[in-house]
Amino acid sequence: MKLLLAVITTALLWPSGLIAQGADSIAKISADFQAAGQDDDLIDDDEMKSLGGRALALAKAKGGRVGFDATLWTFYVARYGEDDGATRKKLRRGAMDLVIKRYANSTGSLKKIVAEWRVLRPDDVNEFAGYYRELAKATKKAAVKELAKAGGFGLLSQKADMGFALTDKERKQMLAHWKKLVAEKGDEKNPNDRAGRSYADSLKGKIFEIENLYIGATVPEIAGTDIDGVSFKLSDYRGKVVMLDFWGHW
Amino acid sequence: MYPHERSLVKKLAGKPFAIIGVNSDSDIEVVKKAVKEENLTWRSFWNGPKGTGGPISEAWNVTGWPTIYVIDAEGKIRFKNVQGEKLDEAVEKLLAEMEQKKK
Repeated sequence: MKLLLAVITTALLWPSGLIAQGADSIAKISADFQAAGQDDDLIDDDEMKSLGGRALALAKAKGGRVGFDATLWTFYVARYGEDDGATRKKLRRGAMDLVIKRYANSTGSLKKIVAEWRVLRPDDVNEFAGYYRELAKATKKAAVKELAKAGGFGLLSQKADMGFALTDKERKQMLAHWKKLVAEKGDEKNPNDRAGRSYADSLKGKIFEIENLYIGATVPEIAGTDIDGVSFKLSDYRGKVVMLDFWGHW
Repeated sequence: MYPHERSLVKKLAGKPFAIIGVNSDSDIEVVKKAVKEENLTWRSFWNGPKGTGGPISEAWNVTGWPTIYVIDAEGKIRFKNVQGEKLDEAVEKLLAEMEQKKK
């Protein structure tokens, strides 16, 4: 009896043990990514190619949780690769094909996926905007169409936050979108505002920023007092190059 | 951040360049002490007792600290959120433009 049990256990464990040794996993990719990026914010292009390729292969091979996580990892690795834009795009394209095929009607999964679409380079905007359009077309769900629309504007907002200049057309789009929101739902609570403010209050600053604080705009006046209580104005320094620094001692 | 600002001030002494801060500490005494102890030579607006929720950062929609704008001699915003070497390059580029215009 003992012997029989041992034989059965070995037969059960042996094949799966063999597969586990050779097969790739999220844990392995994650560990190798940590190792690749430990000296820098970004990883080398060849590491992006190899790690991203592994994540995408795993995503294609597996369904369920592992396949989903591997899809996220493909976008993640691509984001942190250094300069090789062609590889970055190829990886994302591959992951995007899976997104359309598997998750186009799953709002919860998509929320996690689009959170990985962060604008780090000006080109990213057009690429991600294209993905949102594909999603809107592929989905049957109204909630996903809504998410795709909001996502498109979110990209422009991210682009501006990164310090990249928006085109005049992009600025006008954003402004029209926000002003419409304020006009339609001004007093309603904005569900996307972490401070829980109304649409009107939460968008006031954003509207000011996009109207007045873009690259190329004449800087708005600041009139206030210095830390000794002496009044002065930002325009007192016209004629000099000024680094305006919002800082705190914390 | 202070060492970088200090090195900019030192490197560009005598050039038409200024750092203007918008300090967002809620306690003015903390700021005064920091300025003295860290020997911060540039001038700052105080954002008031609401700290990061004060009127200047609120109006400018500042949600992250530090937030940096680089403004040219004509008062045009030219760079936003540049840090480290990129910040030095931005300032030097604008100073070089001024030199060019003088000629």
